[in-house]
Amino acid sequence: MTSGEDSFEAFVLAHGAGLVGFARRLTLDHHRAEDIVQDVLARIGLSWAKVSRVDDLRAYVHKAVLNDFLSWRRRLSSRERPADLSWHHGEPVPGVDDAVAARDHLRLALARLPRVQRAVLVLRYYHDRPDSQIAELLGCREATVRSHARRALLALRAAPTGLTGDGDLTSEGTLR
Amino acid sequence: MTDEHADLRSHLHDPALDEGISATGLLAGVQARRRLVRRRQHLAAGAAAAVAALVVVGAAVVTTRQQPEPVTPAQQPASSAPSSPRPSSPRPSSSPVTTSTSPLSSPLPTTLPPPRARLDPTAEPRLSTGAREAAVPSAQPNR
Repeated sequence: MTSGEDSFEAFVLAHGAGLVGFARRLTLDHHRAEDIVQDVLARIGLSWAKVSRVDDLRAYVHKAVLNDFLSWRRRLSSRERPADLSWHHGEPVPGVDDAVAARDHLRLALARLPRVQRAVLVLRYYHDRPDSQIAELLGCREATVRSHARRALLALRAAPTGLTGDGDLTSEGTLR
Repeated sequence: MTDEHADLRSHLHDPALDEGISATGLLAGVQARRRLVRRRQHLAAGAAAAVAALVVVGAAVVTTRQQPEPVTPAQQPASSAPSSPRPSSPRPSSSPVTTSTSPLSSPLPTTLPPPRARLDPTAEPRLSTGAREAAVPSAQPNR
């Protein structure tokens, strides 16, 4: 086994879990997240001798995962549909933790967002990236990033089980 | 920062989203996918080579078939073409066309004359060069 292969395996072992976590937040689907990350890492591994010379390799691979998530090929192939979890939370079930229910409701609202809006929220509130970096990653202007974020937050707030201004998540399907 | 932002941030940082991720399992999947990608690349390269060979052979065949054939001289028409302009002079309707006086109407000899030897069996045989030279002085008149 060559040293390049060793360094590639070391990179996957060191950063693979973080990449899958990032992809899970983008896709909200564990299997699709692993699919994206494996696809990206396999392609990078084939040209590892060249890619390994990139300055910030971790940021490079994160951007590759983001691009794959937003790519038209992935959109055509995956046929992503937001999961319909309404049957699961249609009636309040006694004994179920409200926090768990609220988390699932927020997750459902996130799943209904357009991909680019979800990516903006993940980059802004999970990676804590400034809008300028998000705009650079997405290849758009900062004003566009702010517009995406504003629309996403409005959609989450307007969702039947969306965010509320006082910090609680509604579970009754109405805004407080 | 508003509370809704904090809610969203806490949701996205939920450690439950990071559960069950196996780095070694991911590495195994990546390596399997790399082998798959390599195999696809080999197949694609083989298919491309086969297509290129077919294109080259096909182009050669087409080029060979499209070469112009050797030019053959056009044959003279045996009679005048029907579309050729006719003389404007009216043809005499009562006078029949006479072809008996035409020299072209005479039939060509179909048999070749017999060889000279057969025509003149008494003729002398042709002499060789030496014999002809020897015979010349005797043929000259005496001066």
